[in-house]
Amino acid sequence: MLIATGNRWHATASMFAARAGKDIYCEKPISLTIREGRQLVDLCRRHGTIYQAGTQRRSTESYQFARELVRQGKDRARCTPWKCRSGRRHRAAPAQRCRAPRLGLRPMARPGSVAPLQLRTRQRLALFLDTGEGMHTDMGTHYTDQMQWVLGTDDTMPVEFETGDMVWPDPKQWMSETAISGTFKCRYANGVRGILYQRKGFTDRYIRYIGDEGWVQVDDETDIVTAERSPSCQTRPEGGLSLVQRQLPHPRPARWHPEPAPAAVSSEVAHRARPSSRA
Amino acid sequence: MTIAARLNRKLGWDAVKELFDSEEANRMLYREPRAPWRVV
Repeated sequence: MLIATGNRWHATASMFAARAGKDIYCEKPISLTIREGRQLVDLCRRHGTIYQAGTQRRSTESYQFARELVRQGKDRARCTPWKCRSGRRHRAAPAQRCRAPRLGLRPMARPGSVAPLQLRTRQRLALFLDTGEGMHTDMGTHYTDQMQWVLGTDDTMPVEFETGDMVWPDPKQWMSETAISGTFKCRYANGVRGILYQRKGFTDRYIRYIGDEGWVQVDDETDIVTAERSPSCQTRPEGGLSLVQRQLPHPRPARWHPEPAPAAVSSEVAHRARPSSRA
Repeated sequence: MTIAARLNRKLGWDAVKELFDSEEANRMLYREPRAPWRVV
C-alpha cells in the first residue's frame, strides 16, 4: 500500500494498513512524534508487514556513490565532479495528481488536533505542531536520513541534540509555530557531528560529508557529486562525517562550519542557489 | 530536533530507552490523540 496522504496522517494510515496485513511504502515523514513512530514499528512487527519509508535518495545513484566514497574513505580526489544521470527521483505527472480537498476545519486536523486551521494553507501545514513538525522534519528528513544511512546508524540515533539561530516569521505577516530557519546540531556517541542548516524551505540543497582527509558533496538538484581532498577541512573523529545543508551566499564563506572551509570549491557548485518547492 | 528547538536547550538522547535526559522533553515524545482516536 502506498501512503501519500498529508504528513499528519502518515503514521495513522500506516497503522491501519499494517493492521490490514498490507506491506507499506509511506512518504516521509514517518510520524509526527517519536513515540508514534515506535508504535508504528511495533505494530508492523506484530502483524509481520514490511514497511518502507519514502526516503528514495537511498536508491539514487549519486547518493549511493557518495556513500561508498565516504565508507571506503576514498574521498581523496581533487575537485573532481562526478555526474550521475540515472536514478533520478520520480515526480508524478501533473495530470495524475489528485485534487486536494478544500480546506476545512475537521478534515485537515490530525487525530490529535482540533485547533483552528483557517490561517493555514496546504503547503504550510508542516509549519504547525498539530499537523507537522516544521520544515526540518519535512524536507530536512531527507538529509537526516542520508546521515543515518551513510553512518549505518539506522538502529540507533545521535546522543545529543541542540538548535540555534532559530527564526520565526513576523506574526503580522504570516504564522508559523515552528521556526522557518534554524541550525540543528546533533552528535553521535562516537563523536561524529551532524549540522542541518535549514534556510526557509531549503533553498540550496546539498549534503556534504567532511572527513579527516577531505569532503564529499551531493547536490540535490543536479545529482552532481563533488569531492576534494582538503586537509584543512577537518572534523573528528572516525572519518568525521558532518551533515551540512544550508543556503549559501556566493562564495561559500569560511564561517559556514566551525572548521575552516575548503579553499577551493568548484564554481559549478558554488554558483548554484535556486529556489525550489520540490520535496 | 523539534523538541530541542521548542525547549531551546541541549538534549541528551538514550537510544536504548528511547528517552531524553529531560522529563519536560519526554512529555513531548507523544501527544494523546483526541477522542475517539486511540492506538490499539
